[in-house]
Amino acid sequence: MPDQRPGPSPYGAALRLLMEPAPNTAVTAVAKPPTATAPARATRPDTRRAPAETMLKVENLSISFRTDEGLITPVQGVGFEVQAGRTLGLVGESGSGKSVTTKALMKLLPGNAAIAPETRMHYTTKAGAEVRIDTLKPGSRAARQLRGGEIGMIFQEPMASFSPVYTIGNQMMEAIRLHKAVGRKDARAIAIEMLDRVGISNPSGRIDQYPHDLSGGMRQRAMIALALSAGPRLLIADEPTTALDVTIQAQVLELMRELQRDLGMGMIFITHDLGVIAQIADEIAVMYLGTIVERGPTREVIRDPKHPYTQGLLRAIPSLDHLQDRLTPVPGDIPSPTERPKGCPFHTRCAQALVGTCDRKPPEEVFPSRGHGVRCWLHDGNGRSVA
Amino acid sequence: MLRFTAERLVGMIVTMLLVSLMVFIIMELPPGDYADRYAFRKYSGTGVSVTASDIEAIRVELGLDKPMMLRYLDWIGGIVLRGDFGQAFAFETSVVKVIGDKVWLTLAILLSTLLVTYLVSIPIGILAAVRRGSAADYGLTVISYLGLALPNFLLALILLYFANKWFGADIGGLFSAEYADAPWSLGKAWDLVKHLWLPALVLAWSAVAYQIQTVRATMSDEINKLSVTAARARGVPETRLLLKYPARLAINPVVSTIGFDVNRIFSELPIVAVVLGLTELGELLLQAYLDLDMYVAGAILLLLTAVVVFMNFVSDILLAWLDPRIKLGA
Repeated sequence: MPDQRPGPSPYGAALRLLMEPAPNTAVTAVAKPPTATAPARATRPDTRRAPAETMLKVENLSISFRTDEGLITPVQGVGFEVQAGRTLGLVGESGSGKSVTTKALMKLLPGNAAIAPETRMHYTTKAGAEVRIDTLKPGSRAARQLRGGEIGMIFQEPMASFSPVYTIGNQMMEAIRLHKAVGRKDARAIAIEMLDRVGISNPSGRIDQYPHDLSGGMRQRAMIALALSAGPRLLIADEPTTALDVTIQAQVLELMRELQRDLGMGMIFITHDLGVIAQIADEIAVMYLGTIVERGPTREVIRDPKHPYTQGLLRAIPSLDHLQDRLTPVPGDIPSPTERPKGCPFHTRCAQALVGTCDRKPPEEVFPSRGHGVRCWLHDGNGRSVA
Repeated sequence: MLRFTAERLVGMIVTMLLVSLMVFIIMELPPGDYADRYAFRKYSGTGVSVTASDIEAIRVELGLDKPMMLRYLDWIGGIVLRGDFGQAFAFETSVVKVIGDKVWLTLAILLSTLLVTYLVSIPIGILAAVRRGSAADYGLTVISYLGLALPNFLLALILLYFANKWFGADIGGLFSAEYADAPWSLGKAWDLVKHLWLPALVLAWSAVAYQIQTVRATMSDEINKLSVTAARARGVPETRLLLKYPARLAINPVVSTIGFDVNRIFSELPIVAVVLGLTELGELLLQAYLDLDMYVAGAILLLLTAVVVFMNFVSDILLAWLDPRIKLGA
């Protein structure tokens, strides 16, 4: 990953623990996917083990853009599910299609983008209604109700995601009043409560301040408060901790876990930092060039990665225990979407690529174990399996 | 905001005092004074030979013999305390009477020009940015380049020709014949409005073209800001979103150049005024200079600069209101 070296991660230890075999590897078969009891989240309540309700189901999502260089397809045949109260971690390098995928969920794609007709995006609202996101018109009332009210979004740069010319309260109250039938006074009360909730001191004073009056960590907290103020059921967090320094990062992650537990939200957490993912996600989907190459329960994927790309990403994480070792980056660069390789998209950088197989046909998803899927010829019995 | 306004207000007053001193010095710069001119006018061709002491007597009579600093204090004191701009020698009356209506008419032209400029350029610039790359965008760009290229006195002539040809109306000047010398009334005011649009359009022409480009460029930048996407992701309806978030910042450069626009209008006004037969101060200013009628010239200069300084003050306040970050630097 030449363009984004993960800094020394405070989660190295947690990650190591996850990667080592746990004494009891039996996984509960009732819940799909199985929940592993990692030490890092031993404090989580047991309700998370109950069969979770699927709130979002994405099938066959393909997105293409008309550009001057022709049609490019940064996302191809992506499918995943998000359960209420659980977190899906989307991992990948920049250009892997993570952000575009979530933009499609919010109907926020630019005008030159098109979602393929075979795409299905099912969402269940707070009221229990089924919504087909793929058929919504971007400017429609239904799409607007979805944005913010049902699906909240937080971004990498908290300063840039607030408008600098309105107070925090103004922007929060706007969001609240768009989605809840409340007056100014009540909206203000909700906003103050939310600011208090995310750990901002003196919320009734802060609410009238401008974003530039807050420090970086405070802004990210305020951004979370803003995204949650309209009470979304699903939260999309697009690299929310990447721009923060590591101590603040830990605080913000802790806060998000806490809020998720209290509010029972589903969450999609986008990052390129597997250390962060190990801390927050229940399941991981690793994306490469617009395709999910591996997915499964966090613990299993990190401890027993099947795809060479996932293996490469894990080797590229610095660890406090092995400071003298040099990191092993994944060789090469992610290809441009205009030059998408034939066959498996990763074969150009893969040390174990099978000549004659990987460069011919894209692999189908196979399941080495329950709930753990991988798209790789090495694991596909129909290919010349070596695994 | 109150403190900021007060600070700018004090700054404006100080600026005005300095400007008035400069204006007075400029008035003193041309060689000779009205005493020379008066003597020449009164006695040339009459065969009477005028001596230096005669001129000196006139000078004493007009009060022009006192030291410059003293005359400045007299002048500025009269303006501040009594609204008295001094004597208009060539007209043998007070400056206030000579300038009178012309000040208000000039201000009316200025304000209507500014109004036309912003009412036309801001919405069009925003629209062009929102519909970037569309036929409307390219069309507007072409028209605005035409606007930048066409000298406005030429435009004035063209408009006069067609207005006359199509409407058969004499639209030159600021009033119809029946109102020209009539006292002020509602009818006269309406007549003025009916005549103002033409000079306002002509004077606004190039500024509109320029400001469309400015608004379009800033708006295009602002539209792509993450804060706009974030607001959209909160479900803010599109029109409200565009007006509340990017548009507010997109008009920043327009607001901050109000002072330049005022300046430009004042410098272009005299030529357009000649073509369209308008009553305004520019022509009078030139005449006053030729006559060395220094208090008339001084009053006009002072009023024009006062308007520029005041509009800059307005622009500062508007800017601080539009963008709360400004106050940090105050």
